Formats: sequence, structure tokens, C-alpha cells
Amino acid sequence: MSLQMLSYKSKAGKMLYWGTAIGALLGSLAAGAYVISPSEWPSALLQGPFHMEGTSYLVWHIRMPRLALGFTVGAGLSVAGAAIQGLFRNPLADPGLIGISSGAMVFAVIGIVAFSSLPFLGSAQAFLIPLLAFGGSLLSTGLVYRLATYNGQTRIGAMLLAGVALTALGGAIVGLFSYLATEDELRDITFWTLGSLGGVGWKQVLATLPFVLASTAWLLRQHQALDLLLLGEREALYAGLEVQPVKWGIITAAALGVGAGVAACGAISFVALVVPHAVRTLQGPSHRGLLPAAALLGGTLLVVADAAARICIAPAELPIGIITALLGAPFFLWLLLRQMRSGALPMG
Amino acid sequence: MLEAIGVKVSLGGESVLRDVSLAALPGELGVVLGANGAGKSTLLRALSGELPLTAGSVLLHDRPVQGFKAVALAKYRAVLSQQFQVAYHMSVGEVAMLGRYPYTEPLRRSRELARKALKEVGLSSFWGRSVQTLSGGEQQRVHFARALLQLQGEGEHSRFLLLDEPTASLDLKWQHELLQLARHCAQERNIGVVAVLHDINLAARYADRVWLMQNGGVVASGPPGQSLSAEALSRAYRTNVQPVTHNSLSYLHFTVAERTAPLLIDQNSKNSNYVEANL
Repeated sequence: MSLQMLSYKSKAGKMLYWGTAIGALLGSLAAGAYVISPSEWPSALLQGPFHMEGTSYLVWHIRMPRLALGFTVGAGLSVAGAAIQGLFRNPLADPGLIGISSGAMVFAVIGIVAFSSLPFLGSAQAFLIPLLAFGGSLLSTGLVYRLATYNGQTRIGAMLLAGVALTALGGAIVGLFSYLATEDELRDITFWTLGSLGGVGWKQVLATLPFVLASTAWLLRQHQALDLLLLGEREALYAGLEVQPVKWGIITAAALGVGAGVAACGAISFVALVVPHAVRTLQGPSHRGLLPAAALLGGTLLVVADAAARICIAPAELPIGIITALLGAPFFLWLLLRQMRSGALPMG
Repeated sequence: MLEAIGVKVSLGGESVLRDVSLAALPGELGVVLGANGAGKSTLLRALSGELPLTAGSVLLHDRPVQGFKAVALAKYRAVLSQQFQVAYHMSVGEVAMLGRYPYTEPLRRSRELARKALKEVGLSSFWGRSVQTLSGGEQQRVHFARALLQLQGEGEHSRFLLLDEPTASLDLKWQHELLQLARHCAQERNIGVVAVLHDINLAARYADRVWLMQNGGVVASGPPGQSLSAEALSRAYRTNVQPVTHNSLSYLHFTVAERTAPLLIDQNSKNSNYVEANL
């Protein structure tokens, strides 16, 4: 298999990415504590979403929304991660590590605690929390960007340290709210800070999909701008890019993607780090192919990881955030070591 | 025409350009000379439209350069900065094609033009290579090709290419080839090239016009034969610059004097001792 085949820029590569994604979706629809055998599929699917019992209910109302949400969040996080890494010109810029997810989490937790005392909000709450989380991630992205860039150049050390500070602050605030929370709220908060796709329904999908779609669609259209930014901000300006508005547009869209993902299923870390890096290694950093490939691979990865989370200790299940962190953190360390060795990351 | 009229620029409260006026003409290679800190790079950034001016104006086609949209400006003026790194492993072809950003055209057309431009700078076999793995000189040529691509469009207005110390990372051969290429582009495509150089002898040899800077102002300008004198250079560089005469030289040549007496190379001895004025 030639490397060309793994590139989203070739026809074969495109088919490979789409094929893998569809295969993963079908496979995880069948997988779980209860395995749906091939013979059950036709009846379960044909009975449709309004047959509220048995395998049909399991497929249409438990597995499908979960898959849809997992794929959406995975794609959104990966595209946002790729865009942020383009903007910061460094592959270590993971939204989880530089404090973006943390900002989203703080605002979402405030939302969970505050809204539970406002019962009249009802199901509007499901839509308000993503908006709040978006506000939080926007705030932290803007802050990190301001702290980490000087004269149009990113200082990677400052970026990572700003992330450490924001994550610590976020942890303290989430801790404070956990302390103040009631028993029920506490269970919500704990489960959700670990990152989980458990127990989601179509409502959460509806509350997440529009935000992620908006973010991803806008970022996919910015592929040329992101390529130009790899030259540095000044060069991008010379080459004809209106750097300031585009830059803040990218920050806003990426924050929207991360915020919606965090609001829906908590902090699922490292997906946004691993997926863009893998795609860049396979087909190069040009964003024309990188962004759509990252969307598909990110969605696929999260769906597969979620299936693993359901299977490995069935009938119980692991929060998916634990799985992605267990796989992602060592990968991050490896990447860090490689950057230090190549001299790209001054540590003096 | 690209012209500066009474331009003043302050950076961090310090006045870096004091009342600079000059005009770059299409078809000419103009060179900015001067000691470190004389304001050469700042002048180039002011001409590029990137820096806000404290006073005066920079006009491109008789319109203030600050009034242009980035895309419109990019079609008429390209800038090649001093050393900078491309993030990640972008390929040579991809980087060259970024020069086509201001134009709406099919990808195929951009690729075709980029191949031609890379051939022009002697990199035709480098298309798929990662820019990061190239030598400093090769990277410089990739960006030179990108800048040429950026200026390649329809429309009659003249185009300008600003080069900030383009020869800084190049070896002897490529220093000369790059300046020959710049002059060739100026003449063939009627581009106005403005280059900041450190080497007064490269300037003397290739420039159609020189602006000698000192303390944020232009102290001498004109064709090298008129503007470059030992006195003016000595003052601008605060060192004793002397002309070198030799019958194999058909252009001006300068060096820093070893002694106070004027330095002349003996025609018959090939190994004369002198320090190059490569400041």
C-alpha cells in the first residue's frame, strides 16, 4: 500500500477514510454489553425509531444517538485541534492541555449547578450548557493566545505554562462547585468531568450537532488561511491574508467545537492531539486534506474507543475519557521528547 | 510607482525613520544600504504597508498603501523576509503555491505556475521535498519563487518586490545568482525590486539605484556611481572605507582600509592582503 493511498487528497484515500468511518459506525452499532447479531439487524432497523421496545429500541434510541454524538464530538474536537495547532504553529497545542477544555468545563459546571435551581428552564438547559461551555472555551483560548504569542510568533513554553495555570484554576473552580453541589449534581459532575458518552439520547445530539457542524464547516473553509499561517503571521499578511479577523475567526470556531464537545460529554482529552498528528504524518500538514481527514478519523476513533469502553468491563462501562487519556498522555510525552530533541522546544 | 514621502516611524517610543523620501521604479533593482540600526529593515516594513507611520505616507500607484485590502496589496507587492521557519513539513510545491492565494484560479493552474517558478529559481526537482529539510539558501529560493508567483497576475499596474537581506544565509555563488535573478525579474517583468543588503560590493555591482541610510534617514541616493563614495560610506558605516581599483574590476569595489593610507592592490600580485568590506 503506497502512502498516497492514505492521503485524503487521493481518491483511494478518500474512500479509505469514509469506508473506515462507516465500518466503525456499523461495528459499534452492533457492539456492547448486548451484541446485536446480523440476523437481528433487518428487523431492528426496519421497525424504525417509533417501535419503543426490544432490539429496535436499543438500536434507535440507545446506540444510535450515542454513536452520532461520539462521531460528532470526535470530529469536532479533531478539526478544532488541527486548526489550533495550525494557528499556534505547533503540534503540542491540544485544547485539553492548553486550558481550552478547562475553561469550557468551568462554565459548564457553573451551568449545571446554577440551572438545577432554575427548574423552569426545563429542556432549554440542554442547549444553554453548550453555549456556556462555548463562552468558557472562547475566553480561555483568547487568553492563552494572548499570553503565548508575541510579535506574531508563538512561544511554546508560554503556551504550555498558560495551559497549566488555566487547568489548575479550572480544577479549583470545578472542585469548589463539586463541594457546593448536592448529591445528584455531584454524580453528574463527576461522571461528566471524566468524559463519558453514557446515557445520551437524541436531545444531546440535537444540542451538540449544530454547534459542531458550524464550527467544523467554517474551519474546513479556512484551509488556505491556515496554510498561510504556517508561514507566520507577518508572512501571511504579506501574502494577502487579513490576519487579524481570520485569526479570531479560527479561535472562535475552534472554541465552539471544543465547547460543544465538552458540554456534551465532558473532557475527552488527547483526541485533538493524536488525530491531527497522525493525519499530518500520513499526508503532510496542508490543511486542504488535513481537516476533512481529521474529522473522519477523529469521529471514527471516538466511536471505536466508546465501543471499547462499553465492551471491556461489560456489563459496566468505563468513562471514555479515561481510555483516551491512557492512550493519549504517553503519546504526548513522546511528542514532547521528540520536539525537545529536535530543538524545536527550547527548554533553557 | 512605490514611493515614500516624508516617512517617519517610531517603534517603542524611539524614532527609527526620520523623514525618509524615496521612489522605487518598476524595472529597477534598488538597494538600501546602511549600518546596523540605520533603519533599513524598518524602511522595508514601512514600504510594505505593514507598519503604521508616525508621519508622511507610502504611496503605491498614487494611493496610500495602508488603504489597500491585504489581498489587493498582495497582488502588487510581495515581501521576502529575513530567515523564518515554516511550521511542520510543508512541501516545496505547497509553499510555492501559497503565493497564488490572492488569485481565484483552478488548483491545476496554480500548480502549473508554481512548477514554472520553481524551475526559474533552480528547484525544479524539489517539488515534494519538505521545506524544513532544505538548506537556508534553498529555503530562501523557495520563498523567492513564492513571492514571484504572488506578483504574477493580469492588470497593468506595476509590481514591487521587497527583499530583506535576501543574501544573508546564502553562499557566495547564490548571493550573486539571487541578485542576478532579482535584476533579471526587474528587467523582464518590469518589477520594481527593493533589497536591503549588507554587502556594499553586491550593491555596487547589481543595483540600478542605491539609498544609503544613516540614523534613520537617507543620506545619499542615486546610481551606485553617483551615490557610493568612500566618504559617504565611511560616514555611514563609521569606519574607514576605501575604493579598490584593479583593472579586472569593471564596477565599483570597496574595502575597509587596513592602514590610514589609501589602499591599492598591486596589479601584479594576486595575493594582496585586504579585509573584505563585508559588513
